[in-house]
Amino acid sequence: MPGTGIGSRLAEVLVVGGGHAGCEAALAAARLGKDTLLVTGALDRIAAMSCNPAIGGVGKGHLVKELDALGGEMARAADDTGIHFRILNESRGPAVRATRCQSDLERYRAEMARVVQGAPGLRVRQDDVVALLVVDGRIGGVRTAGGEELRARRVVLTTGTFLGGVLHRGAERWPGGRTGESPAAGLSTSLAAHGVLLGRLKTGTCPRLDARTVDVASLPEQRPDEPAPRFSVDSGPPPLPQVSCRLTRTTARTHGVIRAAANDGRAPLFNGQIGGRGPRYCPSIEDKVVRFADKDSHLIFLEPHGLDSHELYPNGLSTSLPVDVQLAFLRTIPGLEHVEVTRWGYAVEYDYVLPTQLSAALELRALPGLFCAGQINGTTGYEEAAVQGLLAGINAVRSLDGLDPIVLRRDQAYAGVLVDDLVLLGTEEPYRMFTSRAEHRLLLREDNVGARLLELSDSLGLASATRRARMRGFEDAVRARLRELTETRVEPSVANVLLQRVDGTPLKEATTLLQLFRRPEVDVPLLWELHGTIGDIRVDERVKVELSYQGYIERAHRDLARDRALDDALLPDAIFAAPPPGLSHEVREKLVRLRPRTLGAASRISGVTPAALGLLAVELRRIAASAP
Amino acid sequence: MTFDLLRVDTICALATADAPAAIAVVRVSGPRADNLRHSMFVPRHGAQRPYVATRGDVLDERGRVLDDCVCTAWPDGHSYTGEASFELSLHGSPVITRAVLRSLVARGCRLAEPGELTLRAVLTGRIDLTAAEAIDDVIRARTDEAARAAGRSLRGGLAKAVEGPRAALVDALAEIEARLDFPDEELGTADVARLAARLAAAHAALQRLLRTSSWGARLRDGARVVLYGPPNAGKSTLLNALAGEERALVHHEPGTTRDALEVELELGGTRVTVIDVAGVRPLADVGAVERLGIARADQERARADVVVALVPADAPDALATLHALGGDVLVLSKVDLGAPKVIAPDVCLVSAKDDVGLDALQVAIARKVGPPGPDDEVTLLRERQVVCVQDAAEALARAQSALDQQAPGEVVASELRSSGRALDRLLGKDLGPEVLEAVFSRFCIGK
Ligand SMILES: Cc1cc2nc3c(=O)[nH]c(=O)nc-3n(C[C@H](O)[C@H](O)[C@H](O)COP(=O)(O)OP(=O)(O)OC[C@H]3O[C@@H](n4cnc5c(N)ncnc54)[C@H](O)[C@@H]3O)c2cc1C
Ligand SMILES: Nc1nc2c(ncn2[C@@H]2O[C@H](COP(=O)(O)OP(=O)(O)O)[C@@H](O)[C@H]2O)c(=O)[nH]1
Ligand SMILES: [Mg+2]
Repeated sequence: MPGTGIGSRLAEVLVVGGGHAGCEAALAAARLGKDTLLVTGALDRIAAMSCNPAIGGVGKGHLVKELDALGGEMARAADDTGIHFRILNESRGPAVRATRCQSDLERYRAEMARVVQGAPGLRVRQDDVVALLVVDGRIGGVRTAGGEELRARRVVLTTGTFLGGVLHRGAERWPGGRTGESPAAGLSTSLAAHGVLLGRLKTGTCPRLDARTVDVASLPEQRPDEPAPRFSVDSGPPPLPQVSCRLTRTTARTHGVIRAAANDGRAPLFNGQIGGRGPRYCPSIEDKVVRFADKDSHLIFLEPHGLDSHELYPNGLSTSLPVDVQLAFLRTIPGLEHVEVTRWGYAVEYDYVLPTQLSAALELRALPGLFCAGQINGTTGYEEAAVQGLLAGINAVRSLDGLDPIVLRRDQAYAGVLVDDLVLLGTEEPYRMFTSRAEHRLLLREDNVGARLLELSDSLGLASATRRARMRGFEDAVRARLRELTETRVEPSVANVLLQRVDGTPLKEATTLLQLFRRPEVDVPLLWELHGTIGDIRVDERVKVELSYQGYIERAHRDLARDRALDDALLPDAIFAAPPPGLSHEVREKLVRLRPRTLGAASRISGVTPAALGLLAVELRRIAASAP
Repeated sequence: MTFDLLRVDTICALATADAPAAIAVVRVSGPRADNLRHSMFVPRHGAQRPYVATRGDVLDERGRVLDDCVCTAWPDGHSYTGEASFELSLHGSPVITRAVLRSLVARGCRLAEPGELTLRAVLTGRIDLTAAEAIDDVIRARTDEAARAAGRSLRGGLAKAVEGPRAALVDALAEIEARLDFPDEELGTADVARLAARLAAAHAALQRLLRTSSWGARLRDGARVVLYGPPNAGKSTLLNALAGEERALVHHEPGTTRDALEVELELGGTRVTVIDVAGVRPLADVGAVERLGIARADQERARADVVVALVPADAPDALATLHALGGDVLVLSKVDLGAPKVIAPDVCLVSAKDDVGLDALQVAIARKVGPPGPDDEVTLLRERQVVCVQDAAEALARAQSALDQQAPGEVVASELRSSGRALDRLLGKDLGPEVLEAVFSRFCIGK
């Protein structure tokens, strides 16, 4: 049945889904000069936060800063609409130190929608996409529920939890992508019809509480940090007033209510109603109570939805128990004795695209031209989604321009770790970023994002010139400071008095400030005293990190230099079409299925032996030699 | 799987087939190749020129001659691998090649993974010139996989041996990582004292493994060769002859050697420890002290890699006695006193006094010390295994001291991970998912 096609000119990039991934993908494509069309189920739900009103955190804050460096929008929007900023892990080392904020949920959504709606070259359309249009094995566009055929040269799918979405609460189950929104019917079928393999996952969310029925004043307060840390290099101080969160905890009675419901077979998670695999690290409260029976209390953060909202998000209470149980257990929690619920918690089960079918550009190998990003790829979290959206948007544009895709290295960015993990290892539970997933964690810090990504960002030109100039300014300042400290000498007569105060070994002769700053006992304020002037705190803290981690950083770079050659060796398609003889059956099967982009990626696949790499390398050479 | 590559470190490998052959070629490639060559190869006549096969001595890191060999060097950009490299054509004994490889490793060279030399050749763009050779090498890489399979049983035991230390790493990482990645959870503080104790035990276990496991000990100290036989068989005299100096007290009074005497020797290019023990004879005939000596002799025999049994040629029923004694190398000694009537092919005839048969005896011992030919790749695997365990132990020690100095958790974790990666290289496993699993099963995490 031909669509009308009326009014819809061929888009260069068409993005399906206006969530966190979709917004970044659409903005990136449009800003890189492509005629872009964003099709999403509900225009007034663009960039909605389905779950908690927070952005950042350990590993996630890192992703947001990387996104900022490459030209994404989330960091700045979060800075402008955040109402509570904190640094996590302040005392646990610079690599795991991370920024997190509570967002004013509605203001965040509105801000993002404003930017998307106002972006030149970006058209938006409210409709549900129900099928893919495939022409000669390539993506050609999409069909909507309204019966339109929207043609496009590249398509980015960012449909979140909407594919075959089923919501669960108690014995109820109903189709939906998110509460109040219908699921993407048909799209799963269309993907499957084109040979795309889907898996099933589940996740859940908390009930929301009416703050006016909570005894807030009786609960301990968690204050934001002063001054507020920022995600984007573009941001000044937060424009919105900053507020506190409250803490409370579950009690033995809470656990009793939950356990009784579970025993009565009323928990969909345990009675077989939900089959999809949920994340181990983001368990529902019923999961926590049952699996960690010896823990008699769990900490709950009460996070405000926003400045103008009376809703609270009780972080830690994700649940799909029946509503009467939800209310009953909530009221056993200190401060919530008289609580009223504004929205009930629920779980969602949804289809995802097994991400090992994607190339490192996030393009589906089965359907060239079709990119996938966000929760559809098996991840969870706004930040994980956003950074994939950005990369998919960039790579869709590059493929239109006949350029090689942007593939970040694992030692370069958490975004690189994320994509590499997804496409090479796949995931069987919703994938969330942890810093422990990065083998080069000490290199991937929030403080050195510029050093890691500025060069790439300059070549992409997606981030504004001002943003890149700011990053360059900071990196230059760090270098200049290092030089200055190397050139400035201090006399024992000056230094020893100050060193004595921190039990430092006294100097025998004059030495450079750099040498002194290397010492563990010399911190930034002491450096300033030794220097006799006050420096830039951010610059000096960065210098301190570089100095104290120098040994590790150098060792890591030595290791990396070895792997670099492998990561530079691209494997052409021909090698998978006819793998060299001599490979074991297992290795051959894995290579053909996963199609690693480089020898380095191949080396990270389990079971690929150095001998197999040798064979691939020889084949690579043979192919190169026989090329015209 | 981590895999070191290209122009950063210098690698070495046995480049010829693994069966015993007249000549064995060891290839060294990488930025330090020239330095290594100058430090370990002494040309017989004048200076060495590139591309020219040059005769000379190859030395170990203490300056001892390992073999008389032919060395060819290629400058950077002109070799098989495209890097500076050289080849040593050695006498084709596994013992010699092993000694040379070990000495290269001692000088900071790394044993190449199978196929790695070819990989370098390919990546430096040299393969076109030597394609035929390369393919051959890759075929060899495949036989290496067969060798890997052979090494698997050996690894099974090893896997057991490192299980404990590895579990300690996972434990400590789970404790530390959970607190790094989930700061808002109420995980309390890690029990540092418990972790420190567990890591110390793990480190001790790795050290023990390096010290006591037969392969580790062999590679460090060389094989243990025990001289075993009745009193007055000439054991002490033989030891002195092998050592080239008076080390053991020699006496015609039977029972002179009561304790065991160990001497480190160079035999056929490899390092061994020769142990001279008390002579064995019926316990009824001996006093308490000698009895202890005999017990010690039997212990040494049980521990030894190679047992050399000695019976004087002039003893009654010498040959039968010798066979009854048993051992890896059978020796009829004092043949100057009269050659035996029957000559068995597997028996060495030796006179320490007249320096007869000592060379042949050394070769016989060396052959037993080295693994049998087809097992050679397994030997290389073993050496790689030792390197892995060593790396693991070193990183673990760094982790311990970081923990001790209250370094940030991320630093401790980084060292623990390196240690774990070294063990992973050994076992072909991946620590990462196990750590996450431990974190989530141990801690109630997540909002
Ligand atoms: C119930 C629930 C609980 C969650 N819990 C957590 C949690 O505990 N922790 C956590 O980190 N993250 C959680 N998340 C995940 C987080 O919300 C997502 O990871 C993130 O929003 C994913 O972003 P996305 O852009 O991929 O998809 P989404 O933000 O879901 O956006 C998808 C968009 O696509 C549109 N769309 C879908 N299908 C179609 C179609 N066929 N045609 C047109 N438009 C379509 C939708 O309208 C929507 O705008 C939860 C999500 C849900 C729904
Ligand atoms: N003729 C001869 N006598 C030897 C030889 N080796 C050892 N002896 C003598 O045999 C006696 C015992 O030697 P010793 O080495 O102490 O024997 P051990 O008890 O086995 O250690 C000494 O008197 C030696 O001189 C040999 O090769 N030829
Ligand atoms: Mg003796």
